[in-house]
Amino acid sequence: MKKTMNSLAALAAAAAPLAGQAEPVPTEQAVSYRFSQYQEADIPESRTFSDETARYSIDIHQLGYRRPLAGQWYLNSELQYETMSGASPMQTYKNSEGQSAVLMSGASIDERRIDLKLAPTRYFEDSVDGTLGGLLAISTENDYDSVAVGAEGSLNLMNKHTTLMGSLTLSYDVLAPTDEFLSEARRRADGRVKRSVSLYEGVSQVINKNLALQVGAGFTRLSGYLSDPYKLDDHRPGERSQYLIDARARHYFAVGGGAALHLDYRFYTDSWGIYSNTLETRWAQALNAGRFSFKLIPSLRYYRQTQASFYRLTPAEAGEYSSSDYRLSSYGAFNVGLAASVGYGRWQISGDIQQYMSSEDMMLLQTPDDEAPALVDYSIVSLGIEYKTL
Amino acid sequence: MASPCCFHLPAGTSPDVIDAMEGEVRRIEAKYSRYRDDSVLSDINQRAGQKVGLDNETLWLINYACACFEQSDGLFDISSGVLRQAWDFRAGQLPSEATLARLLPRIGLSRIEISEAHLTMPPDMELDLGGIGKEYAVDAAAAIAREAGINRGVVDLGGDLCVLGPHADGSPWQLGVRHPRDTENAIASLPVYQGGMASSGDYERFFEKDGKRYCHLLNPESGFPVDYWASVTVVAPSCLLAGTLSTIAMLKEEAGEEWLRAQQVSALLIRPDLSLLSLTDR
Repeated sequence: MKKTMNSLAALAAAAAPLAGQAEPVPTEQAVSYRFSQYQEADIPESRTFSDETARYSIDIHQLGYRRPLAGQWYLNSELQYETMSGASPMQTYKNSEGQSAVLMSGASIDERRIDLKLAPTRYFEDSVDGTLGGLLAISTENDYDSVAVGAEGSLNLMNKHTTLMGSLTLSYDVLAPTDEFLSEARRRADGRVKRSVSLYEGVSQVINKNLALQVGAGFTRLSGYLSDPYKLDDHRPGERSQYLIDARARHYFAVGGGAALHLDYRFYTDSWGIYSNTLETRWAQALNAGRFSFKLIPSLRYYRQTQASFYRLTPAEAGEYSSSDYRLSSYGAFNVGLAASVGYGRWQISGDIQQYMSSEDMMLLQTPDDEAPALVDYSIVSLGIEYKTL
Repeated sequence: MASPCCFHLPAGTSPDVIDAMEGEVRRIEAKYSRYRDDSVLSDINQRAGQKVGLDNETLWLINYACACFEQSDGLFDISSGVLRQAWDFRAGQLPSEATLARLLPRIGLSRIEISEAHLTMPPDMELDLGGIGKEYAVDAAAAIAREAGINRGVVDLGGDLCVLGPHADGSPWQLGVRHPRDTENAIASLPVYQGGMASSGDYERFFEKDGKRYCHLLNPESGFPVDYWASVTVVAPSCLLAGTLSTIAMLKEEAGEEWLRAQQVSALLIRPDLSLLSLTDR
């Protein structure tokens, strides 16, 4: 370190890393509960085949528990229970007027899903500074079972200024579509399996005491039955390779009780011909008043993607891949959100509201010729409470 | 810790929080005590000459001590503790030239090497974190209180303080500055809203001989006590910074005043004739 005129600044900088560091095994134990409601907006009436316009609605209950285990181990766990109801698009097609229209499933869906996640982490502090963690996730619903195992690690170097991180996740899903008498596709999918292998490597670097950057790359390989048995004429390749590169920046500001500007970018492409870009920015503001501590995080995200090579609204030849799933079409989307929390002693109450809007016009550049009326708008409102013991 | 410790926390503060704060102070005390053979510090000193792996916290503290060494032009040196062998404050004897000549070459933090979380120091060196350990413990205890949502109160470990936040009505804490010649009483008080305050003075360990006071704050180059200020008290963002700044100002003697002004901190300097010099931050 160079000798500076202002020694206070130099000493404060030397003292700074520990404040943000403190990454020995967390000692707190906490229980949390969160309720979220996911609500999709109605589909435009003029574009549906039947007069069914109501879409999906999901109620989500999440129970979280985390605590130190023996030695250098710490456990994070979460139990999630969801109830889903409503309808989803079965097919988008060109109607006799050449307009794209949607065939909805009818309000036939009424499902429950239970999801359990356990993630133990081992902290290393002595000769190696880092963490090694495991993940076990099991999810079950009446037409879909999934199990995933993973491992992730982080390694701090250069006095914690550089952190390398990596993760590997494997998943194994089994399909069992309901009402299989309704279509050949549902019968075909019954008992079929979907596998995935996912790898992510990243490095984060502290540039100075106010700025940190992270870049990473990921690869996911999916194989098995990747078509959607609930959609009509949905025939997708049995393999999909996904590649992503992401970059994140965090800049801290001494405003109020401390604030940070987040800027995230993600580039994605896959073997189905989709390219996507995501840009997200958030402002995280902390405020303190007496024994209360407040956090306020407004966010804005923009997403755009190009369509899969086999996305089509007209019937395909036998043996050809095809799908009219709006998630494989060309479109753009905006998401605005506001998260807030109040802490008092060991209690914390938090709320979050997100509004997502998507449409083919929001691609902004190169708007596609085909409309995708099934593109969804949705909102998520959630409310949570957490109690911590030291 | 040898000095009185107290936490002034809002009524109704959970005993668990207080226990956790006290536990943290004891943990740090035990980890960096030079009086305990099983402390991390004793282990480092016993393994002088070898390459010793450091945990994060210790690595950070020693790195901080190196920054203090550089910013004080070598005056603040955690390897200067060996001079205690020459200065016996109970006996009140001046050391011989020969003793000092033998000890002085063992001092010099620039001789340590830190790389990849490992420390190597010369076999004849000994580290002492007494000059920063207590202040660090104050900040660590305060961090636990803040973590638990407590934004009012004071953590006080024998006069090294950290203010969590102002009184309920928004007014600052009036923190007493110890009278250097009557240490049970305050000579002045300083208003502090938030952050650390610490003092360094010639009254902690000393003896008088032929009308001259010899205190425990020693110049690592001459091996002799400093005597320009009776005490220096600094208010800074954390107790650790306040403690470091006050000690460096004491060690810098006359130049300490100008140096503290350059840091733009509030400080109260007391001369041996008990006249006060108050610096306020701009």
